[in-house]
Amino acid sequence: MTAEEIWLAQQLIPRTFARLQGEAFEVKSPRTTAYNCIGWVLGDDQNWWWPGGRYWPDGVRSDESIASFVHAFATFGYERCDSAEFELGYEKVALYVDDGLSVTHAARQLPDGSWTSKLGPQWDIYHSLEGVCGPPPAYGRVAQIMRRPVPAEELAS
Amino acid sequence: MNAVVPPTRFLHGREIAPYPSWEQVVPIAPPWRTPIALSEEQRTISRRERDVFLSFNRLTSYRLPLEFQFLRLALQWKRDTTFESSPWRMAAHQDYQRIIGLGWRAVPLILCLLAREADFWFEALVAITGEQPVPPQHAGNIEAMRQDWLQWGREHGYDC
Repeated sequence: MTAEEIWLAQQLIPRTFARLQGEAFEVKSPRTTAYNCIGWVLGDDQNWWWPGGRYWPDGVRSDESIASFVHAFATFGYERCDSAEFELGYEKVALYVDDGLSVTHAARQLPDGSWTSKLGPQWDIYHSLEGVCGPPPAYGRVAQIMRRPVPAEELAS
Repeated sequence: MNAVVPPTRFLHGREIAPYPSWEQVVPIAPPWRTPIALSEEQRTISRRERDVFLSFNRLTSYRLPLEFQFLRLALQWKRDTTFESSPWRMAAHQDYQRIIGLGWRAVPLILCLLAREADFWFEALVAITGEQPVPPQHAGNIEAMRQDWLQWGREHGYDC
């Protein structure tokens, strides 16, 4: 990623996500339309995941409701949980919703307790859980935390 | 009549070119087509046409050529959906809907942009053309979806 692109990201991102103005965030990848936040959370950098006309698990309802996304993540071993605090042995994801309770975004927790997500067709960043919250065009609020056990070999590494 | 007919010139008994050619004043219309006067009826129609023209000129907005109109809408849409993940919300944006409203005239412009870079034009193309060249196994693979639409464009005479 070029210095110009990092500079552009650092200019653009805080303009949309006002909460990131007061906190540090890191830009981690070049912009790409190849994958989105859901793909990034699930470790797929080849597909744009979204219900209705994009990549989506078979048998999962095709709408933007929380239930639909919870079901989609459940097919990858995630289950609902209440706390966003870091728990050793678990990987957590957060689902964000707008005022109409439509899912807008997803983020994945890192081993240091911070969160990573891909901002639409733009960059992957590291940020705090609430960093991307806010009124549109930011991602609303956190509506659901989910977790899955980290495989033992991954935990060891 | 303001036409100046250069005098015919002779040299040693032979006719030569008028002098000098760039000073000639060419009549706009031949004399037998030049109106001498307008009738009262013609004058009335002219005044009415002038009034209609002026009122039209005042009341209507300036209409941009299609390409500018399209690019302006596309840029506003891109600006407002910079960080959007949902293709639904991208397609629901008012400027995206206006692009769909341009109809078939927008198809070559969309395909030209799509040839330059992968972007979320698929919903607009489906809405305008009523076709879906993307097979289900390509859904979500943006590059494959783009190539499917560009192939469709070539097959239908849109070569970008």
